[in-house]
Amino acid sequence: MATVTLAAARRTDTGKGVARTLRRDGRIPAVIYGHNRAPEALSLESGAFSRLLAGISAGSTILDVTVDDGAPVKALIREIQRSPLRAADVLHVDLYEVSADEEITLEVPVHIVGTSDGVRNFGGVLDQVLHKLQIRVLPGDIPAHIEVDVTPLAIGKSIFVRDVTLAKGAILNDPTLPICSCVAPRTEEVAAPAAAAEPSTEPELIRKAKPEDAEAAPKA
Amino acid sequence: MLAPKRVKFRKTFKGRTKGIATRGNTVAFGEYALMSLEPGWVSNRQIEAARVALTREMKRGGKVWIRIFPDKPITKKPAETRMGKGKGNPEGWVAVVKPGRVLFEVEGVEVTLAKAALALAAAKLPVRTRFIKRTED
Repeated sequence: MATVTLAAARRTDTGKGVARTLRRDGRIPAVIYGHNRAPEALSLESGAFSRLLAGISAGSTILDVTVDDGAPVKALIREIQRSPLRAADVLHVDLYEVSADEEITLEVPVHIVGTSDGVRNFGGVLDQVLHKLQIRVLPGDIPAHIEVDVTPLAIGKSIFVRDVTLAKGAILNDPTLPICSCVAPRTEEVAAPAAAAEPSTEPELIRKAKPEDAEAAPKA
Repeated sequence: MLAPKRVKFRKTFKGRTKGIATRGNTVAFGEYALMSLEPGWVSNRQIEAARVALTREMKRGGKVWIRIFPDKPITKKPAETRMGKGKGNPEGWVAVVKPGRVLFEVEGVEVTLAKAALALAAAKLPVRTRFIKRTED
């Protein structure tokens, strides 16, 4: 796996006012914690971080983080907080320092490979239930993603967590969980009868109706 | 059409919609989604119209999730009624939507078809929307 470097600056001030000022100045507030170190508040250059995100799988790439002019430390991006309205705007980044000989737990994206038999030949729909798998692995062995080949998947069949094997490390998800299923195409919709199409706007009350409710209902 | 089966109260206050969606603001089930950009009330009729447009365009392929539920009763006074004499009768149901709320999600179709289908669904809704994709982080 290629090494990716990330430059960060130490900051002493914290809080939302400081964070907002940083964002206005084109920087992203961040924090680094993990492997026997106290949490430290940082800031990242916004443009550089966006360019970095475009080229890597964010959650599963080990970064060389250089804080000011210190020695680089190996860290993972543990969380990226984004603006709910503009997903491109990163609000905050959590970096997790890792040690080369210490196993870590992280989530790795699942990539579906191929077109399943049920979709290709019978018009089925591939339903991906799990988009990430939780794995425990040494930092040097982290896969960028886990590939799941769905080519032989027929309608009504599923691929489960137990069907996936990792070259190194262990999958922590429940082995009986399905990763993806091939389901039959939806049948033609039957037009509902008129009565069913227009349900009453007056549902049943959970509490006991008060007399004024009963009087109000027939009033028009 | 979507409507609650049982409710605690027949009528509710109008309320004010402030802020942005802090829940239901990520693509959780499908691959592509329609996100609201402004606050508003989406009625159960509009949700149904959008769903029908979406499924028709997708030619019943793929899978659709409706991420909002109309649980707020809306009252209306009868036509040509004088003001006063209490609140009107329940006439329908709406979902209160805040900016950032994911309204519909789809999966199992190509991105171009998903975009076209969600654009048709968006045309049935009273709020401005944006097409979004699932992010991996």
